Amino acid sequence: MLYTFFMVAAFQLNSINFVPQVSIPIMKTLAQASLQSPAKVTGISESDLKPKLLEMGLYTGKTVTVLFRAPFGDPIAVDVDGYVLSMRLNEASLVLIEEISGAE
Amino acid sequence: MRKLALFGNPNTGKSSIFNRLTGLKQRVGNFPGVTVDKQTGQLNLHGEKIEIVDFPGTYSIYPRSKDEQVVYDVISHPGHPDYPETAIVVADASNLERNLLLFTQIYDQGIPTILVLNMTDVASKNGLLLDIQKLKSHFPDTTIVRSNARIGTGLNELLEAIHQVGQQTAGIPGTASKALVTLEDSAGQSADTEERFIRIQKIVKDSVHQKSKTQEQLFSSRIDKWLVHPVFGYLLFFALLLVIFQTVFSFASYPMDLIDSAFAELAAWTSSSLPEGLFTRLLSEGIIPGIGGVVIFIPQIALLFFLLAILEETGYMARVVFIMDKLMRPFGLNGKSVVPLISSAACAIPGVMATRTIHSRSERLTTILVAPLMSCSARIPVYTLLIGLVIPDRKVLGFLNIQGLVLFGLYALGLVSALLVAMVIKQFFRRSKERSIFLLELPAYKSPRWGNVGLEVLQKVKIFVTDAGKIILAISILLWGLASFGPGNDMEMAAAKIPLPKTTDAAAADQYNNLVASAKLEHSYMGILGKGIEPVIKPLGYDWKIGISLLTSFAAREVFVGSLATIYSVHQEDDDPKPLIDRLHEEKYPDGRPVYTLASGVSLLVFYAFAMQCMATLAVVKRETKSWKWPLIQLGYMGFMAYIGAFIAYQLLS
Repeated sequence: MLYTFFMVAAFQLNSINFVPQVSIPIMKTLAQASLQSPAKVTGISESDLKPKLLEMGLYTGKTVTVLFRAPFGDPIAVDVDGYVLSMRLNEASLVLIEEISGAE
Repeated sequence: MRKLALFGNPNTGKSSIFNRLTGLKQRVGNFPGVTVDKQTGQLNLHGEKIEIVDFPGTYSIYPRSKDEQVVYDVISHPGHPDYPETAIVVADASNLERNLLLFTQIYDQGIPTILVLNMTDVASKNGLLLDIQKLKSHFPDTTIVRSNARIGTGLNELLEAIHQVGQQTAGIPGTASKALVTLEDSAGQSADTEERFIRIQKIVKDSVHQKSKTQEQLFSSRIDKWLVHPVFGYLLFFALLLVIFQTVFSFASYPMDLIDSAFAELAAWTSSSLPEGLFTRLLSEGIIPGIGGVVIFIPQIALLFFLLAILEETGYMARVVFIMDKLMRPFGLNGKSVVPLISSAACAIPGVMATRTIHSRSERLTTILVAPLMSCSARIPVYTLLIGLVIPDRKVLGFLNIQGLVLFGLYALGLVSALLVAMVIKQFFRRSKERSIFLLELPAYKSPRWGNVGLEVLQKVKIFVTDAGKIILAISILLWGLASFGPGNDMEMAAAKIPLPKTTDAAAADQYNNLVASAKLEHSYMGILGKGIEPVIKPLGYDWKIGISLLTSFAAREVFVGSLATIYSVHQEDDDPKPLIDRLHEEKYPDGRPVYTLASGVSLLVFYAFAMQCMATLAVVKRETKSWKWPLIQLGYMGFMAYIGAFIAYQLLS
């Protein structure tokens, strides 16, 4: 119980600090995407997981939105054009995205 | 017989369709060479018998795991014994694009196909309009059927399609229009998948029209706000675990007691009404109690799977994995491992069977291997006896009873050792080659389909009784034989040495019978074995009488208490351990040292906390892993831990 409490507290602190300060157009991954802001998939990094990620519909051009995160920040739930996919951060970090401008 | 196969993504209602097509005419078998169960059902259609095989749900023909590979193996080898004459592909109509990937892979192999667009209610709720004619124009060789397994539409159309396909395609071999990429070619699979989605996108654009924004999903994400919440999400899950544990632990005990007494009466009736002899003894002491020992587990299995099936059906189980993943990962376990482990705290048998829902093979295996370390209810009689025997009934810090503290410690020992062993397995014994893939769909919440729940319960009970039951029965008859027979007429001679009672009252007769039973057990093969292992168990602080009880309680842990009572000829009434405890206190070695001391008692407690003293669990593990390798490894490692643990405890305390 104590452990749980500590992790929750740590996660919440962490998420406060995690807000990006400046918006430089750099290559982002789905693991870094902010909640509820739609993004476009621009590719999948080479990995043995690549075909599996593609099979779930994460091909180039697909619109994805991070809906919510699990209590400790990992895994995350992603809307993939109408269905909800949950994935671990290490899997999400293989998905390259470009946030859709004008969403905010 | 014509062979049909069912394919489809997970969460498409595929098993509902299988259940509706085949009803109770289902059986579970094996795919050659793999560990996944093969669900086969039979359908009688216009006088024709058709065999339907339900394949594991997959997102693609290219497998994520060894278990999913069966789909690839069958589809890519027309000579495979399970190669279907017609493939029924079930697709979620509300998510056609992703579902069409698997469909096109199978369609392109030239197998005659029927495409079932299921969950059409969800699709229309989500504002999707499907143009079947347009869809059909892209797949001219397929028959498209709309269905809704939930409200029960589309079944007749599907049956008609199955009949029609049989008329048209009988004997026509399929020709693949597009060869599959090999399993090793990851880049090729990526390219193939990307290419297919470009094609599918066009098809979907052409035949599916979006009217309005998705509602069903909004509803689900609103619930998810609470169910995966860092506080409420866990609270709800722990509350559910408590309900599951209570059900398996307490509620199941009522039917179990009934079964227990029914079989005891049946055994007594058999032995009194059949002519005396070997056959009657085999029947009343070996076979009937053996069958009773199988049937007794049915209430726990049925109740646990009833609850589990509901959790799976509603879509909640996917959320359990979601919120528990991070916590279980360091131990090499899956989010879904939590339910089997908690169930194992009541009984490892339904617990091991419940690991079925874990898709990752290595995580499932780890869960199975450590589940029997959880302190199950069969250990309670053993713990109660031994704690009453050697742990003083005193309070520490004014309010903590030491006996209660020790019992709590034993439960904690079970949990901690299960997690630690899982961690060791993850660190040292896992081939890192099989990378764990998480990627899971969080399906929209649905109300459970009770027909599916019922079939699931029935099937689990059937698997247990037919597959594990055989092994349990065989071992229990073997154990009975060892305890009931001895070399030559040693047993009879030993029994004859007991002086006959001088008076004729019941108490004297009871005492005489107890002494005879004790003498007989001592001179049986089991008694000889118990004496034989004495040198091995001496460093743990045990004598041969404990040795015999250790051996007999391989049947089930609680047998330890009954065996000790028999050996010390103590009459036990209403499971009250008091007379036995008093008798054990008096037990002394020839040199006057007491046998049951704090050291030997704690050593026994530790031994029972770790040792795999349960043949029924071994039988279930054999059934679930489909090989003797894993139950034997389990028996070995748990026995090793028990021996070392008991040795350390005894040597430290004596």
